[in-house]
Amino acid sequence: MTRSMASALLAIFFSGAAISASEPLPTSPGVGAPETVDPSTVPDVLVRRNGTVLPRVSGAAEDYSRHCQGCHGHLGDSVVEVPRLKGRVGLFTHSPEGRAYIVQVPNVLQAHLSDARLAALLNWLLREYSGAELPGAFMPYTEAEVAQARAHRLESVIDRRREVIDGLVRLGVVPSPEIFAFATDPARY
Amino acid sequence: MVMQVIDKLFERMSRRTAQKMSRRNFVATLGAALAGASMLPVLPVARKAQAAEDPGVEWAKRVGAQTTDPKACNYWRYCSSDGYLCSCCGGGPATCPPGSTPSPTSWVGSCLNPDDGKMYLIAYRDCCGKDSCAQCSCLGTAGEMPSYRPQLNNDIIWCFGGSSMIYHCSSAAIVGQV
Repeated sequence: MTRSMASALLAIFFSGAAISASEPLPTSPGVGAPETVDPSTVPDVLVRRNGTVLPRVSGAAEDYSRHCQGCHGHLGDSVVEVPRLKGRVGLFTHSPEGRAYIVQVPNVLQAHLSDARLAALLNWLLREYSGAELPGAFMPYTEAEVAQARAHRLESVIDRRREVIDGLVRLGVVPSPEIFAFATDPARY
Repeated sequence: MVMQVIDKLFERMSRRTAQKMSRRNFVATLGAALAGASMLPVLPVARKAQAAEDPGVEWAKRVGAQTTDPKACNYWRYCSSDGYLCSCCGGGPATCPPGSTPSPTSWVGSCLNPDDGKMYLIAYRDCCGKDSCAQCSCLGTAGEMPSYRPQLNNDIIWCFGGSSMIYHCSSAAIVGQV
């Protein structure tokens, strides 16, 4: 079974569980992470009554849950105010500036995570939410690369973002900056 | 070869100890060591180590967390919940009361389930779009950060991204087992 098929099946599975149960859609980081917990083993009145199936989360997926998911959502696509990861964030890794930029975004740079864990988290989320947009020869982040990028604080995130995106257009990674437009203001990117 | 040397060394050490030390001496030393070890947790160093335990675990112990009554402040999922319990407002720990809608954003913390001793990730999601429910006010602050780190703060209204910023109550859905 391919990864996308597995994701789709799990998504159906979870949305079904959400309709029948009173728990909302279990925000599983890693729709591709198939490990689930048998509800009868969870000592909680509602989980047992509703038979809610929970995902087991660990490692980088857990770090995503704790540090990113609240706003970016378990599918990497959330409200218009929050930049979308899904099908997009991987494009930044096509240039050295873009690779550094996604480490330097304020909430990434300042996350309460070590450089090693942050590297693992970035590698996980890039593959999970934007695997198709990664360059063929994608080199995973290393602790050293994250440490180096993190040591440089951006003066203006918005200006830097635009520079990086303009660079990606020049490189021919994307035909226009459109894909990076803010959902709240499509004229801006 | 190496084993023989070690063997010899230990033999010599034990013989020397046997010759020099009385059995009583050994029992006394052992007793003192045991008594000393039992005093360790009283020392400030040990207490500091305990203070560093997970805030969710600390909360569960302090309030006597339980897994059966979602209308009580010590229901295990509420270790970081600050506000009115949706369970007391016509909803549940993971459902919004009629007339309110779940915020599309939340913050994710973790609480200890006292019955299986495992940690679970909990999404603290406010129900919005209706006046304050004002029932069952509870304050859990496990793992909470000051408001200058808003993504892990529960003083702010988590209705961000939704159609209404009016706070009604706080829900606490389990999103996974750690």
